[in-house]
Amino acid sequence: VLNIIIGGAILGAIFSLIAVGLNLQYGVARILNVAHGEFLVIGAYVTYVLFHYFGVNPLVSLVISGPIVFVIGILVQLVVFRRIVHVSKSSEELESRSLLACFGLMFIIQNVVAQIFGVTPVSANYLSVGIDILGERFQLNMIVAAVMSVILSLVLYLVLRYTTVGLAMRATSEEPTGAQLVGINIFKIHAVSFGLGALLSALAGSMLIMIYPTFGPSVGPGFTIIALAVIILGGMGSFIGSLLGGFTIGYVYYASNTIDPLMTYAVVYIFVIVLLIIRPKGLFGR
Amino acid sequence: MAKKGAITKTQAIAILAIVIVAGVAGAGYYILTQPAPPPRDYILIGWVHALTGPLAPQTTTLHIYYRWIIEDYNSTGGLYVPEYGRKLPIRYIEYDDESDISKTITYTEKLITEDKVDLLFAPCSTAFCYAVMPLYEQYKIPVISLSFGSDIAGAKMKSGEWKYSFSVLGFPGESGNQTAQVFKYINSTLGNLKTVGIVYSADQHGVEYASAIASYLVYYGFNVTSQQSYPPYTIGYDFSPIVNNLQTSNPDVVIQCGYVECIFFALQCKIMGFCPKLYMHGPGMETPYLVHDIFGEGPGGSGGAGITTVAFLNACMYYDGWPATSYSSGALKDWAIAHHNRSSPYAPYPKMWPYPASATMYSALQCLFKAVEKVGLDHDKIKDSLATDSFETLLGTTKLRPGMSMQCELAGTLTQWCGGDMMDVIWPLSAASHSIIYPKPGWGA
Repeated sequence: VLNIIIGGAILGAIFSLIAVGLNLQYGVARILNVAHGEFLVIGAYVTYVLFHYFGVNPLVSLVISGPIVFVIGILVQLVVFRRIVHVSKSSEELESRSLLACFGLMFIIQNVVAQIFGVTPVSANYLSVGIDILGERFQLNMIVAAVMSVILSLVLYLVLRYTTVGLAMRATSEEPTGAQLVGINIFKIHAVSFGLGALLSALAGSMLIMIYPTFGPSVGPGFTIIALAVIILGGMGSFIGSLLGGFTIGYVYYASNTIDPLMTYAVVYIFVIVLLIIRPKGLFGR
Repeated sequence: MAKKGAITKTQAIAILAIVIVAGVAGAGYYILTQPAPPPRDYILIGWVHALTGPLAPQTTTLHIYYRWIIEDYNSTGGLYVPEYGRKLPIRYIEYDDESDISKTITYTEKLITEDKVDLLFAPCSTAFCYAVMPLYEQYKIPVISLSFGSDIAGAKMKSGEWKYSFSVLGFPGESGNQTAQVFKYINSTLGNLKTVGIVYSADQHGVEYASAIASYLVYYGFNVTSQQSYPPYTIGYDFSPIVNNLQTSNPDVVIQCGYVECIFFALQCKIMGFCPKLYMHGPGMETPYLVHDIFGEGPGGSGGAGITTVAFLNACMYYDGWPATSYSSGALKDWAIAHHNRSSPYAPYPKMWPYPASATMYSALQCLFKAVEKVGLDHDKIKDSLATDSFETLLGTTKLRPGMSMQCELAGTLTQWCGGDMMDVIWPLSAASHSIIYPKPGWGA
């Protein structure tokens, strides 16, 4: 039980970070980015290059991989989604069109990464040692990643809560028309939000590649599926929902993985479906 | 004086002459009236395998020989085809199934019906090969599956239900038997080996091999303490709950019937402080260029995990990669060096040493090409030749056996990492290039 309590928390913290980025993109820019896991992959490969070719510590590489993917995210938003936002007559039309574009983006990123780096697994193993906590053994790099994830999520919360940009993001999320009336350039905010979501995903990738020695171009969708479960559970557009949803899914995932690994995804989604039946908007959905 | 009623010598010669002339004329007529083979400038070979997706790492390494053998033949003018009386250059079509079985089936059928390939090479991994075997029967096209092992399919091959499918590596039952035999030997000579924990990927390979190995081990008196499955074709999967369970039962040996994810499982065993006396892995961890790149640049290199690759791998055993050969001497040493020097254009690695069944894979493809050189492009004749003939290949006299592993002169069965650049053959003892290491001396520094 203790193993599940601690292991679930570690996993939940990492899931939260991935989901917060996806939720930010959906909440502000109304783009359900199913290529979210691919931005995670880009971040992971940036760390791999820095670690293997330049000897940069994977944790230090966070300050490089994050900004790089942030810029890529903004460019993608400007090149791909801005036009879609312009021509879409309703939010439903925007969501369906952007969803299709995201599927395309997913395959493009996967294939470009595979072309550049090949399909053979890569890693930037770091802190791969065991550590005992209350008699149970866990991976130090997982614990570090979990702690970093919590810190990054809190930093994002503070940015959203106490900065002008954060205020503009919240305003754009809650009332886009009103936000424009008070002078907020929502197109810029969309781009920044998308870039920030990609950045968070990349940071998660940079930390995951120091954990997993078999990291490849095709791992992204697995993380997107988990992130989707988290934000559906927590409530689309809810920051706190993503955090708590991440930990909840982390526990469900870890527990079912311990009992029967084959049933993990089934149990996670049964849990999500049951909760949606009881509370259709998720735990904190508006 | 000739007897009354008997023919004279002159008459006999005349009759014989008439018979010979009639025979020659008949044979000439038969030959001239046979339809001439359609004119062609080349032979077309096609294959479908995973260039992307979770199976891609293994596919791109295990199937490197598809291109190599074509290059080798083309460099000497192509493949000799008897019905044309000359060599024809080989062209090929390659499709990516994206690690998706449904696409493997679709593209394989496309290769046969639309692209009209002369010969097919097989996809990668058991489930994918198994899925397209019914197509080989439907379209009567003989195919040798290199990376495949299934007793269910083996029974169909042996019974003649599947006549056009041929396989190379050890089948689950064969692997199970060999594993039990080597464990018996270890138990009687090297140290206590009684309990075994098995973890397996929940795909056809994992299920069949885990089941067969467990059956043989139980039959020979070993205690299989646990059998735990995990989702198939996963990269980046967290094995720590499974490792925790194994730590609790603490078996002497852990066997993992899986693919490249074995590497992560082994690493997590190290991190969690669990080192069984013997770790036996599946395909994926036998390929030097995969494991060495992950743990460090080249053999002996030290990766980010703070582990010397060779020390980490030391004593890990492999259940499936046979007929296996040692590359430490003779012609196969030359093959290994040539392999090492030749590989750089094919992958993002400077050099690649062969894995245990490398020469076996290449030899199997040689069998197919030699069958064509002998009987031509008629699929039924190729099938019969593959089923009955022996061929001289890189591994000496080689024979495919329907429903069983390929029979090679120069081959052993089980292999183990013994501190070298490549795995060594350790079983049977008569074919061994290194003595068995037991127990495993930790996971390295």
